Amino acid sequence: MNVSSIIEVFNDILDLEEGQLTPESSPIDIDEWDSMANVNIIVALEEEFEIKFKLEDILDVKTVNDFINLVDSYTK
Amino acid sequence: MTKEFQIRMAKIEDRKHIMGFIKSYWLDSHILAHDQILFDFQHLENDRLLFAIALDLKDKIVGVLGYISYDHLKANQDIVMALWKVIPNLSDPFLGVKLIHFIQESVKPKFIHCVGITKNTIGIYKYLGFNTGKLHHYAAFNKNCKKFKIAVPPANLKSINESKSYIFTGTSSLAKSLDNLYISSFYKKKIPYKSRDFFVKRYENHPYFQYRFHEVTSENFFKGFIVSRVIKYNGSHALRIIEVVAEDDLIGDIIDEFATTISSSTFEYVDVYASSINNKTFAIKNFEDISSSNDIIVPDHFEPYEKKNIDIHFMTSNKQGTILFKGDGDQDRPSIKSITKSI
Repeated sequence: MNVSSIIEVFNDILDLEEGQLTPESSPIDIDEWDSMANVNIIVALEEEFEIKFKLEDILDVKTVNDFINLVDSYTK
Repeated sequence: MTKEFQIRMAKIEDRKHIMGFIKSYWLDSHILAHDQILFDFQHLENDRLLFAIALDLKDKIVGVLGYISYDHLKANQDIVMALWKVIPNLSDPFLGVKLIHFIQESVKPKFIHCVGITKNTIGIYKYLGFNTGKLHHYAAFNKNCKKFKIAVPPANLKSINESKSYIFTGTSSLAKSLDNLYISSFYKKKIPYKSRDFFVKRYENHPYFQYRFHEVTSENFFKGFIVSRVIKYNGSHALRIIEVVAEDDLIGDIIDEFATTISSSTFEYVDVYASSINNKTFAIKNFEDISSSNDIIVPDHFEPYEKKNIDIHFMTSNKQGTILFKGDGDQDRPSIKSITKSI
């Protein structure tokens, strides 16, 4: 799994500069990260890694790191 | 469930906090933030509030999802969402989705619908597997109207086709129509299905709006009924169809023929917002399709009056395509508290 591809997805959707996002970043830190952006991130990650998340798996994902671990679990 | 947030059904003692939340995070002047009569009318069902609420560790409300039940006495019935709001920039970006999930798990509705969804939530509903779309807005104009003060009609007004397949009989009560409705075979499978109690409460006992009822018959057979409401502005008035209860395949024709009733009236026009009607047989006859017109204006906002067309979006969990009207959910309600019950 390529972590930088995940970060790139976030940067694209949230319109962030490189380095602005850390693994600990969450919607509290990023104004643009609202519920709609969250859905867009999920859809983009599903397309990028050709996976389909189950709703119960994504309900508790809150930080960039959570997303990295989630993608990791689907691509193993 | 996240540890920072708890989701539960609201209790009656939460009412003032929900109203305060609506005032703080939705709109300061929102009628449901100020008018407990309307709030209770929509969301109080016996001794429970039809709201799921999300609370933080200090028991402060951070999200609400209100709904209306179409048949509260039975399980697995249709519900309509009416108010969905979560405070932005919480640590949980999916708290709003969790509120819907919570309602699905705890209420276990047959179908969930919502009329009046905001455009920026359409992606979320689609991701959750709901069907979304825009209500069509149709209007038939009265050729005998001398001056249009509410709407901007088309340059050339259509002549209303006077075919008489249906008879529309005005009634002051829904009682007889409802007696007929619940013995009609088509209604047993109707989506959304609404109980007798719901219809009576929604339309006969509305605290502010006075509705008109028109029973529809054909060759002396009951075919359904129409609920309408008079819109008044600037010394003029128009008739709005709020809901049509009939067999789905007949609804388009019934609405189209209902246009004949305004020719002998002083209404400027009759209009209707509806989804999924067969517009091949409908829009090309007596009605104009306002949704696809750049020249015709039929306002939707009257508090205050806004001279522009308004799009209304909807979502439904029914994959087969549901006919929804402006009367579904809480779209047809006053927006300011000073409205009094009048025809």
